[in-house]
Amino acid sequence: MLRPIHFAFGFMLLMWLPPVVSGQNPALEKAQEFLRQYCVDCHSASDSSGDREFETLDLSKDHWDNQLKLQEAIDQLTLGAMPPEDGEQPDNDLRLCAIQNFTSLLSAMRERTTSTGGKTVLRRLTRREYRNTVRDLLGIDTTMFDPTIEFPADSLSEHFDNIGDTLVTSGYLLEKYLDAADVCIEKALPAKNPTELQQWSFKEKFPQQSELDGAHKFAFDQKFMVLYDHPLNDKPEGAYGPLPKFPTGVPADGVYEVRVLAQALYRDTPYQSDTVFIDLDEPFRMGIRPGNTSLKDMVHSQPIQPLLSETPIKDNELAWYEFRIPLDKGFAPRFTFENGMHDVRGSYGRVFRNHKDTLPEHLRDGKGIVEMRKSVIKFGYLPQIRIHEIELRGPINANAKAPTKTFLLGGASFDENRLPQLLEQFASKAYRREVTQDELVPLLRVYENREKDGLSPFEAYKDALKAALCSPAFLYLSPPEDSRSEKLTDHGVAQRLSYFLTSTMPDDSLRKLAYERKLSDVKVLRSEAMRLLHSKESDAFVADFLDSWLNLRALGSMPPDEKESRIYYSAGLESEMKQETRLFMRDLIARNASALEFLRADYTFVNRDLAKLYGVADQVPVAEAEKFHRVRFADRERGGLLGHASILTVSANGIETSPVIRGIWLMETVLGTPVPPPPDTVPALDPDIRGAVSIREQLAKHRESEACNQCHRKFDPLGFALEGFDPIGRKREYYDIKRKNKIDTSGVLPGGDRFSGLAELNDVLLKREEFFIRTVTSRLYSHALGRRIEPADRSAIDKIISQLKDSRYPLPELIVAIVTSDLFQKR
Amino acid sequence: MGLNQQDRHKFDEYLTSIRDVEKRIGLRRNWLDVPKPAAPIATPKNRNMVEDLPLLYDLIAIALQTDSTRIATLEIGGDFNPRDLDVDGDYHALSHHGQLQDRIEKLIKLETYQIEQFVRFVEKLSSIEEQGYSLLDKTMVLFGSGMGNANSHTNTNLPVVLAGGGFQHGRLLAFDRNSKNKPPLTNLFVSMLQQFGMGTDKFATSTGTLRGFA
Repeated sequence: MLRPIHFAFGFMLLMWLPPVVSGQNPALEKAQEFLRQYCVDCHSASDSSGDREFETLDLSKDHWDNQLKLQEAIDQLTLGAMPPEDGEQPDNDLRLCAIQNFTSLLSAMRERTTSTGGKTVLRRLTRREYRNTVRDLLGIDTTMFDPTIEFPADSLSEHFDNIGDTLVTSGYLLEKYLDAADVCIEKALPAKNPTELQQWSFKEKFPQQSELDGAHKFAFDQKFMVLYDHPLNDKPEGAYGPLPKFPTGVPADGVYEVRVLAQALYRDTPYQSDTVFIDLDEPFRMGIRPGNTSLKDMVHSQPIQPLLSETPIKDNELAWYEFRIPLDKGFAPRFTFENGMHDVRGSYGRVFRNHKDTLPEHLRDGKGIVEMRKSVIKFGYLPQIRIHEIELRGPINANAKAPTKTFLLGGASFDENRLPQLLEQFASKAYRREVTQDELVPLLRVYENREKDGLSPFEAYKDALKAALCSPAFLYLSPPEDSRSEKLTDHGVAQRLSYFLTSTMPDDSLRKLAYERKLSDVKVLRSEAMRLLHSKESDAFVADFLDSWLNLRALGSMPPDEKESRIYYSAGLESEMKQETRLFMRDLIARNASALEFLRADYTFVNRDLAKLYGVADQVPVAEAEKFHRVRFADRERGGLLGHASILTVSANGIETSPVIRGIWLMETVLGTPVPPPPDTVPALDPDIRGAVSIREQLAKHRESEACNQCHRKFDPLGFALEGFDPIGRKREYYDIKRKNKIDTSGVLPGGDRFSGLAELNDVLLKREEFFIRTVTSRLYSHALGRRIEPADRSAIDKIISQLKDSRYPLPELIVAIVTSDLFQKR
Repeated sequence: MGLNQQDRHKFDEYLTSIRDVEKRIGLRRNWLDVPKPAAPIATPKNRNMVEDLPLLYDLIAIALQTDSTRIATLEIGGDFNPRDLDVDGDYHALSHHGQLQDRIEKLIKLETYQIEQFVRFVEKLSSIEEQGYSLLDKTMVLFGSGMGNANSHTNTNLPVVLAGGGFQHGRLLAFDRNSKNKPPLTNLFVSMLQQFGMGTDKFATSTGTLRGFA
């Protein structure tokens, strides 16, 4: 019954795919012919005058040397350096044709040499998957606990972090696995975790950091904790309010209650915006971030310091504020001014320069930062949050993790008589499948040996659990039992599904279905995929997939200029930008909306910081500044993914934008048509912002070379459409402050499509909707399977596209179609 | 477990890693009963990259001298804040100077500082003598940048300095930049690896060693 469909499908393939399978490859023949005619005379096997030898070059072989030679031939032809002047010359068309031919041969060679044969290579957990898996397996809170912090970063392939053959294991990593297993088990089953409620109170004296202490003694005898800077300042003063009289932090993991007596001061400061860098329109917000007391330094930023809670503080009026926050043993709360000043350190001098008249007369010729700081803090009006008293109480719900603990211990307390059973239970959950007797024996042996060494049964059991966490069965996603079998087992499918849609191990319901062998039923698989997709757990999928697809992991690797883009730091825009893009995709899933909304939406999700960046601050109430709101734009000049600040920032380099880089980003990420790298020897564009030549003129000159134009005509116009956005995604009309160099966002694509600006660019892209949907589908597949998508996968992708075309590609359906496809269930 | 050939390669990687850890544990055993020597310098404070740079170089010199390590890497990255040198601006931003003269001058000032500290380090290594050799004779010191021209983001014509290591320094080896036979930079790395005692003849795109150097 299916035959006719298959037939029609095969026919489409023939039209689209280059005929690589046939014995005679015209591209290859032509290339060899070109080499014979124009190159071999000098580059022969016998003559040494040409360094490279092309006579015996067999282009049907893919090996590395051939790829290198081909690349060199392309470079020399592009430059017009070869053939030499005294040699026989191809005409221009023939030369361009040869370049194109060589380039496509080279990409095909590269594809074949990196192919994994349509199979996922045995892959280990990525850092993020490891972290999530131990969290769920052991029931530990990872808010301020990251056992993977010393793992080397996972290497990326096409921006994806979960590609099997790219994920390397090393002796160093293995050593870190041993350490991580140790700290994780100790965290889950601590030797002692005092649970009695305790109370601490702090008032009268608040030493802060050495820079401030002198001034604070002088001004108010250290009676208050005063916060000035926002937490992302480079040289912060009063950005993290520490509790030096609480040097070892809380005694046990748990939830703690914090009460703070505080006031906001000088939101009505007389200082101008060129003296203090802060937004005075909004109420000041106090935050709490954890500080690890063992790192000693509590007044600067630390590697792990999530914002645990924040609240607006009333102006002038002294009031009590209450928080409930988790704190791990050894951590202490640190108080922050989340929308605080930028660079308070520089502001002392600026107050002296710009507002000298507000200082007492005898201090006005103060010199040096120490003296100026003292005067400004005592007599000035720096916007600040002032804390008078702090109370801390806890832990208040020490038994929250009871179910997992019972699972690990086999009851309220450890029962050594049930040891074999406990180990089997644990190992099968950790290994995400049934364990064999052979796998249990070594774990039991660890227990016995450790007990013989004199450890208590409980401590010996913990060591056996640690051993399980270092087993390859835990660290690697298990392949099918049978090496000849192509199909994953039910456990294999459960595992692939959970790491795809929740970035962690299968939950109880999924495990149960795997044990009952029900996951080969497409209906069950479909409903499980939908269940996970619509659960909170899939937030991890949305975040991780977007990081990989859009390369958002790279945000922050090319920092924006601190002067030009102060708001990027003072508002902490980096994480907010990512949040916007995540909420956007989350919303598409929740509404069963079309994946095309990525390109045609006229709305987005922003908090007040981003709303200000986008010029829609009126749509986000001041009282809910930190919350994300859905906002609608009057036109589509900001609509869709391409208007997101995250994308506009990651496709620039922090300092300047380039139509080339943004254009190539669009080709790869939106259209799925990656661009070959430029020849090594072509001179790169050397940006010149003195104003004499515009980037458009520079690129026009570059395109005068027909060989350069071949590629640049495809992506330069796309990139120009986004030139109306600066390196952090703000709209702009001119390149310069003096408003001399006006930006031109127009372009023409090779097919003749004309457009200008974002809305028209999106229309042009929407005309190529299948390219976009194919890219999204193929990237989702990569994320799901943990491998690169290859030409042979094309039919599976096109099948999904044709299924969903009539319903206009609802995003959840697209994801579920991937899960229920044959490819998903193959190794 | 059912492993095909590519999977088996990955599994080998795991087993090799285990062997590696075993060897490291074995090496550590040698030091179990050896008391730690007193550190010859005080614990450096983590201040800023400008102030820390000389300290980090000193630490590396001491680590090499006491054979605490045979390899050290130092990256001067984006946390190098030129404001600590009284240069107004941001390192990353200055590197994209866009041909503005004052930005180029600032860039020169801050990179001069980096080179001066490097020179100080090399001089320090050469002043430490052991068994008739200076520490520099026994240490290859490579300094460079991954970009030839940061303004245009090119990675050709990289500025690289190699000091020490018992190579034949102090001579000019000219390579024709227009020859298609010109050795890639990776050839230098092969020479260095061989000098270090690694029996390798390949590194990335290398075509051999750097002739006339070792």
